Amino acid sequence: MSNLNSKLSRRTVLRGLGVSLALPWLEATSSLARASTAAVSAAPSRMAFIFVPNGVVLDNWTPKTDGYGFKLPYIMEPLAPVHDDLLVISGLTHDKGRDNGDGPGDHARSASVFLTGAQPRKTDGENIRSGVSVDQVAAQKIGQRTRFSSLELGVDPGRNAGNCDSGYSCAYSSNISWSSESTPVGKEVNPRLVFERLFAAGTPSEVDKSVQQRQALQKSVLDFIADDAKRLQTKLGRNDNRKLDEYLTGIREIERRVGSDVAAKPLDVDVDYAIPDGIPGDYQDHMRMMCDMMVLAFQTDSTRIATMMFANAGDNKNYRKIGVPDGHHDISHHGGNPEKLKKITEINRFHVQQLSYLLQKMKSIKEGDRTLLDNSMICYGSGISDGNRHNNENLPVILAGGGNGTIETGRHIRFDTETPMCNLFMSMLERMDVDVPFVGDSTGYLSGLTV
Amino acid sequence: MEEVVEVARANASDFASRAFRRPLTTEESDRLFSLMRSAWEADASPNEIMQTTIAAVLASPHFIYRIEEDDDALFEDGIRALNDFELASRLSYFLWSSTPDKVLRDAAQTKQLHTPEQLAAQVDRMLADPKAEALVKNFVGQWLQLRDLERLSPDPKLFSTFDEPLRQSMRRETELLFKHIMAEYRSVLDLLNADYTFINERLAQHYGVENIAGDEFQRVELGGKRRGVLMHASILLLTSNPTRTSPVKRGKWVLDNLLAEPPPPPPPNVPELGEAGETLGTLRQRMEQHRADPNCAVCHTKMDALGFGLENFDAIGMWRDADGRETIDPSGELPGGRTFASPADLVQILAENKKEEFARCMTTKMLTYALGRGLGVSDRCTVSSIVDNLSNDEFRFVTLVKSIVTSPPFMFQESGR
Repeated sequence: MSNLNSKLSRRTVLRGLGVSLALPWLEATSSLARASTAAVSAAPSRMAFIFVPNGVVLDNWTPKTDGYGFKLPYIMEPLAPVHDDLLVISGLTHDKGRDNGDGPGDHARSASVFLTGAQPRKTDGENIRSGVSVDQVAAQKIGQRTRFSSLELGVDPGRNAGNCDSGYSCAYSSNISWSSESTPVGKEVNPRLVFERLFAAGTPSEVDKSVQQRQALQKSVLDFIADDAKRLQTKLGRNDNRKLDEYLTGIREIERRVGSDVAAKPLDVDVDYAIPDGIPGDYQDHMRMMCDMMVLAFQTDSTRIATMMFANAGDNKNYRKIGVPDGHHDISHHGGNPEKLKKITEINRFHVQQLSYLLQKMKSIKEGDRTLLDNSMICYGSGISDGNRHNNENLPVILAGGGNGTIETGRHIRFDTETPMCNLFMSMLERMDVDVPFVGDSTGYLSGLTV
Repeated sequence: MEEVVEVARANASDFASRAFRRPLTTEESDRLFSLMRSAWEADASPNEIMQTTIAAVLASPHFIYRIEEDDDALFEDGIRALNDFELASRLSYFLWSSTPDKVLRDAAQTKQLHTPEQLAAQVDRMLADPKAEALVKNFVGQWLQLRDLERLSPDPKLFSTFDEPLRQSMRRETELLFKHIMAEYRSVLDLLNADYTFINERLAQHYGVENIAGDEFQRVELGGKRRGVLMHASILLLTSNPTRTSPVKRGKWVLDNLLAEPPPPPPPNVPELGEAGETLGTLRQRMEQHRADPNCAVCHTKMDALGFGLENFDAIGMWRDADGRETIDPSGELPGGRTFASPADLVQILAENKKEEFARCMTTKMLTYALGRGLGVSDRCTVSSIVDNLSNDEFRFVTLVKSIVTSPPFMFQESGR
């Protein structure tokens, strides 16, 4: 799809910030590319997934009419500025989020199944097992085209051990990205650390001075520790070797970054973003700053794949600032109580406001004739639909952005109940230039993303 | 020049052996040296050579992981005794959450660290060291879930006195009680029913204790109303909802963390409480529904009784006689027919009748922490024999720690192949 990688691989170093920042997708690049090649070149496609916990109040979520011209329901009203960029999707199901004989633990399952479509093994011990998530499927196929194969973001810190929900490990509740069936990809919740990871290759003078020497030294360190790890493999048992595999995977990722052409090359460009101080005290500020990080990463083509958890599964924080002093999980068991439903609706709307912030920001960034949002697919939703019933059919899902001209937005579409959510993922992967036979419990592609 | 090289080589090996918590093999030392040589050949300055070496050591799996080799040749019938260096690491990370100090390294070097006597002798020294604060912070933080206190936010309209200093003081109180038990060779049962505690001015206000001034914590004798960690504000807060107490959470917390009798998860398809609209009445009357359904009653009889016994403490652990307009009835009956009239009564029953269960629970939690792995069926005997040791020695904390570090799962390794 995108044959521009070689042209877009120029990177930049930011003087003043003292950090290197990848070169944003500039119009100049685009016209240059057009002038020099006959083919029409496209900006890269990006894809992100955003998870919200505890389901939504569907009555205030689902649009009343299908197709074009649907009226935004109360929860989605904050999305008015990006109304035409939305595809609201009803009817999708995550069957593997159901108990299927495993008993309670719907919240943990709702997060672990969200992007994997796999039934998690019910355990709070070390033998966790889920499936490879759609973002990681893509990262493993096309991640080498950017400096970072993917970016995993969140707001609440996670735990990977201990029991978080009726016998399910906390790893299931606090991660949505899985690089293998036994390896959750930890999310970063500190915007400063994300910023540093994305953009800290040292000061320009340092980079200029001795790039080659530094790379040679880094390479010898990597060789030394990879050697250590390989020697150890023969001396360890099965479980320990699984840990060591994660370590080796990490080394390979760094080797790729140090050794490949996509590493930073200096060039002067200013990007107007102050280095974050750390984790903001206010929840909304925090979510928005993490959204900013995602936008920066996409904008600079540091990665094309990202995930974000606005909160962990079953989260029970209160939303006092919007008049909801109760814990989110507690009131999600609303029992049909109108007052509780009103409060959950407000929480759902509050999360959608943050989505709107992200989408508007992406829409404001021009990429050639289009915008960053036009070139992206942002899949927003929850792994259960109603917090009271914990059901996994008819999930609340929004797909925002034009998928690089492959999705016709501004519509509400409805699928037969039991249509796998993973079929949507297949259609998204197809648009990311990723060809796999299936993901999770997919049975095919989702028709109807175009008219 | 040769001298400089030799010194650099010796420094690097010494640093690596401390980082890896064991002597380096000749082969490792050679590889480290060739790393330094290749840096030198790349025209790196002496500082850069050292930086590169240190980076390699600190990024090595031997530093990042605590490696206990699982080499077939070492095992007999799938089991092997750990060597002195491995035991030094186990001890040090258990009690200090840190790398072995010089005393431990020297003991390992001279092979004076593998008999039960040698291990037990280190325990006394290590628990007296300020580094043992790590055991308090990390073990208690995880076992009693004190770490979760950071994330809780009681409704400020209902609990306007709650603030950050109070949150910090709550956590510290529980840590200090544990620390006292550890340092003074006291019985672990004090955690259940100590009639003393440690508070500062902020917590004294909260508890309604007079004449305590300043940020320093001091020991106070409690008159009757509060006893043990169950009545620490920390535990009472972290087993509550933001707007109200949750007797179910409190009861479940006791079963999970003090008695190791975790209730099974609720059966599938439980109908909602009061689905046809909220049932009127006190929290207690509403919760009675749990016990009306025999499917729920199995567990809720136990959980709810424990939880309602603590209803005199509100969602941030302040004493109260009434909840709204309803006078609180803290009495109840435990399975087996023992009745109690007050929170202190309830805790007294636990301390008298549930000693063994509590000791077993704490042993299980601490052995898990010490080994860094979940316990299996094969660990049951170990737990039972540690509990026997405890009950034969007045449940003293130090006996628990010594029994753990001299137990087979601590001193031996099972092959994971």
